Amino acid sequence: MNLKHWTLVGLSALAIAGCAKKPKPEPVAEPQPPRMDEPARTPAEPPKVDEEALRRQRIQARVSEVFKPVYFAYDQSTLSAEGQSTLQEIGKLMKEVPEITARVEGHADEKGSNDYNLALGERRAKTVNDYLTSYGIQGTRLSTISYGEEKPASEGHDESAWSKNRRVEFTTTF
Amino acid sequence: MTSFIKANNMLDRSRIALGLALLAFAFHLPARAADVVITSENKGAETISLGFVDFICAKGDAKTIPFTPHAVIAWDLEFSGRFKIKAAPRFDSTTKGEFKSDGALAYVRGEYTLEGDNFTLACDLIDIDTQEKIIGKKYSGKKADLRQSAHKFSDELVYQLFGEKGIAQSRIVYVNKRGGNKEISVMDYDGANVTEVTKNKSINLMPTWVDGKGKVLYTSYAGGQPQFYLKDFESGKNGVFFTSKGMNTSPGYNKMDKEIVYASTMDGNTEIYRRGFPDGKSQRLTFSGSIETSPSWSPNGYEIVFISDRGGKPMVYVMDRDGSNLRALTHEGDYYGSPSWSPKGDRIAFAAMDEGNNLNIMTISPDGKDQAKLTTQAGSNENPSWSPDGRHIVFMSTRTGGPEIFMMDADGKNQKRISFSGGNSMPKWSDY
Repeated sequence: MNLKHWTLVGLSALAIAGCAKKPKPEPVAEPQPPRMDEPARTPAEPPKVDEEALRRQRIQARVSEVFKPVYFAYDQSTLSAEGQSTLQEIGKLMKEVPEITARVEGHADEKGSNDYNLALGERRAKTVNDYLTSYGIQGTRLSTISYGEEKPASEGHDESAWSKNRRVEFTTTF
Repeated sequence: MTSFIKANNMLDRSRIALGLALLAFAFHLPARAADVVITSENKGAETISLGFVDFICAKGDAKTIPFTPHAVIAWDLEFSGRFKIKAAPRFDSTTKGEFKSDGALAYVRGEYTLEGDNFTLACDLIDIDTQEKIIGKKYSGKKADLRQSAHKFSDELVYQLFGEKGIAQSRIVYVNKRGGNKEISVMDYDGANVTEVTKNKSINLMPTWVDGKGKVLYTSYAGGQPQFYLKDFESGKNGVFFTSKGMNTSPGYNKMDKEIVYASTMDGNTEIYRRGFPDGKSQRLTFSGSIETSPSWSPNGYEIVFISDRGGKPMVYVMDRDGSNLRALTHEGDYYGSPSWSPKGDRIAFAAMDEGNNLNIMTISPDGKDQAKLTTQAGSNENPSWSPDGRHIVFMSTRTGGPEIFMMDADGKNQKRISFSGGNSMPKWSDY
C-alpha cells in the first residue's frame, strides 16, 4: 500500500522503475542498457537464458536471508550482540551489492503510549541506520521511518508477541 | 417565580454565601434563570431532580428515525451528572406522585413532527405543581439535524439551570481500525453520527481539533513518512498541512494564541516544537537529545505539559511556552504517557504504568500534588482527553478486549463505553 509512495528511494532505483514500466505495451525487443536491471516481478520473457535475471535471483535470495529483523529489549534502543552480527551481515551484503538500498523501519511493542512508541521506533531505526553508516554504508542508501506500535509483527498481547514487535525491519530495493 | 425555582433557590441560599461576583454574573442572564443559576455554585455536588415524559410524535412516523428525541435528551442530562432523571411515558396523577417522591419539582415534556425531510421539535420544562412553563424551546429543520436540536435543548437546560455551557453538542475525533488500516473518524460525544474523515487506506493517527469543531489536524502515513494533514469540515478539504524532514506527530491546539504544539524529528531527535496556525514558523522548544513528545497546552497557553525520558524513564514535565522554566511533575513510577491539561487548568490527566504493565488514567494538580488514580480496571487505559467543561474525560481502554473508547467523570466515576465498532483509539474531545 505505501510501497508506491516511498519518498526516499534512490534516483537510480526510480530510473530502473521507469524503464521497467515502459516496455509494457510492447515486448522488450531492443537490448537493454547493460546496467539497467529489470525487476524480478515483471513477467518473464519466453524461455531465454537470462544471466542477469539469474544474478538478480541470487541476490534476492541473499537479501531475504540476510536482512533479518533486529530485536530490542523493552524501552531500549541499544543493539544486542545478535543484533550487531545481523547488521554486520547486512553491511557486508550491501558493500558487495552496491545497488541495494534499504528502508530501516523502527517498531515498538504495544506497551506504553502511542506517541512515545513512535519516538522509540524512530530511535531504534536511527540506531540501526547509524550502525550501518559507521560500518561503511553510504547514508544515501538508507532511509528511516518509525511505525511505533502501529504495525505489530505479532498481534498477541503477551511477552512473546511483544518481544517480536520490538524490532527494526528492512524493506529493500535493488 | 415558580415553586421549582424558589425551592432550588432557597436550597442554595441556605448553603452558600452569595458573592458579589456571582451576582454580577447573574445580571447577564434572564431574570428567571438568574435565580436558578445560583445552584451552580455547588460545583456539581448537587443534582437537580427532573421528571421526564416521553415525547409525542404528533405528525409523521416516529419509526422513520432511528432514535427518539427524548432518549437523546435524557442520555445527555444523565451523562452530565447534573440531573437525576425519573422517566415516565406520560404525565398524569400517578407519575406526578412518582416525580415528586423522587424530589422533582419540574418535568421535561416535548412534541415533534416528521414530514418529508423536515422536523419540528418543541421541548418544555414544566413546573409540576403550577403547570407553568419554565423553559420552552422550539426547533425545526431537516431531519438529519433533529438529533442535534435535541442536544441543543439539553445544553439549554444546563445553561438555564446551572449557568454553565453544556457539552451535548460536542464531538469526538478518534482513530478507527477499518479494513486493517487506521483511519480517522468523528462522532457525536454520545457515540452517534459516526462520520469517516479519512479513507486513504494508510495509517492515520493522533487527530486533534482545531478552531472549535471546524478542523481536525492529524498525522498520516498517506505520503510515506508520517506528516501533518488537515481536514476542514466547512470547505470539505482534506490534505497535507505541512511537511518537514523526519516525522511530525502528536499535535495539540491552543485557541488562545492560535498555535499548535507538536513533536517532530525535523532536526534529528524527537523534540517539541510550536508553530502558528494556520501559518507560522516552527520554533523548537526542547534540546535534550532524549525523547520529548506528547505535548499538551495549558488552557491559557502559557505552559506546555509533555513526556520526556531525559531522566531515563518517560516522565511528565511542564515548561513555559518558550521552553524555559522546566519542571518534573512526576518523580515516582516507571512510565507515563499522553498528558492532557484540563480546560479549567486545575488538573492534568495522563496514563501511568502499573506493575502489570497496564496503563491507567491518573490526574494530578499542576503543582505536582494530589495525585488521583481514575481507572483500575483490567487492560490498558490511555489517551485521556477532557470534555470542554472539564467535568468528564474520554479515553481509550482495552478492558473489553480490543481498544475502544470510554468516558468517565473527572473523578473516575461512571465509566462507560462509547464506541462499539471494533478497534477505536486516540479520542480527542472537541470544544463546545
